Amino acid sequence: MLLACAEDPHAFEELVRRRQGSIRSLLRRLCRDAELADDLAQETFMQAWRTIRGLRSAPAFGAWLRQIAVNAWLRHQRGSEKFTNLDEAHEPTSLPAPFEAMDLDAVLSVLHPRARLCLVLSYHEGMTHNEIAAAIQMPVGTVKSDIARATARCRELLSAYRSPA
Amino acid sequence: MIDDRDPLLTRLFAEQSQPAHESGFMAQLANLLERDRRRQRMYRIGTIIAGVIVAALLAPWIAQGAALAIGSVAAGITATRSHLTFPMAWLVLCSTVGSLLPVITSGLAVVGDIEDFVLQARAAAWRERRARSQARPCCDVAPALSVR
Repeated sequence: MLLACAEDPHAFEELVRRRQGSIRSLLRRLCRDAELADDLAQETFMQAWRTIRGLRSAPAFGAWLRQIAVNAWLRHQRGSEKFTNLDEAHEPTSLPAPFEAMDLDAVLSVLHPRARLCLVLSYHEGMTHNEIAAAIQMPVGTVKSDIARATARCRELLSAYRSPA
Repeated sequence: MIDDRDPLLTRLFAEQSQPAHESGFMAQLANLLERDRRRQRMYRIGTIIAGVIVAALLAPWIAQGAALAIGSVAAGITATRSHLTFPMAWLVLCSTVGSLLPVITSGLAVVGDIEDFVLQARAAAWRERRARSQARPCCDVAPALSVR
């Protein structure tokens, strides 16, 4: 870790090898497009490489990297102007037929991007509401209500799998 | 603080977490990192060369200016020599010099921000180009994918 902080390329590549799975998995949950997720993961690691000298605490590397990944995804979302306004009706994309297995990714893709981000950070990354609020720079109350709404919506959508009409 | 979590979602997130296989990701990233390192090296060499050229061109004026500055500092010190025996005078001198440091650091930070912005813009443009090229209709494959 110290070698990587001193911009040793081999040490950094070893760190990337160890962390790439978790970062790509997080971004895949957020994007639902493996190729886009990998592009964002590469952007994340490139950004990490350029700024690793500024990392003050080696044990914080995981959280720091995750924050860079979340920021890369947020930038991508802001580029497509879908992120900020949660009150606007989010057009649901096609939901799979109710007879298929419970597809969490399909349900997540229907959610508003911000709600999806909060939910994924909470359930996939195990972050607390306070940590999520700090990571995405939103008030804790907003994060809580986003998660509550998203959870209710997910349960509603998932119930279609269990009780097909 | 432990936040309440829905048991069904917790179970689904745990069950459906698929590890992302490496499949060329590392090789691609290693290439990008190598390219970035090479670009940074070239950028540094270019900056040094440009600096040397500019310095060589400006050398006569710099030397003239430096001589003038040294002369005026020397004249100033001679004039204020009696005051520099007081600690307060040294304090004022040091704080004046120290106040210039934030200006220099913020200037360097601005240069770094501009570089990051350019790189991010290039990455976004590349992604957009690739998405456009992938969005081209492919009549041979599309009907075969639709499930009725």
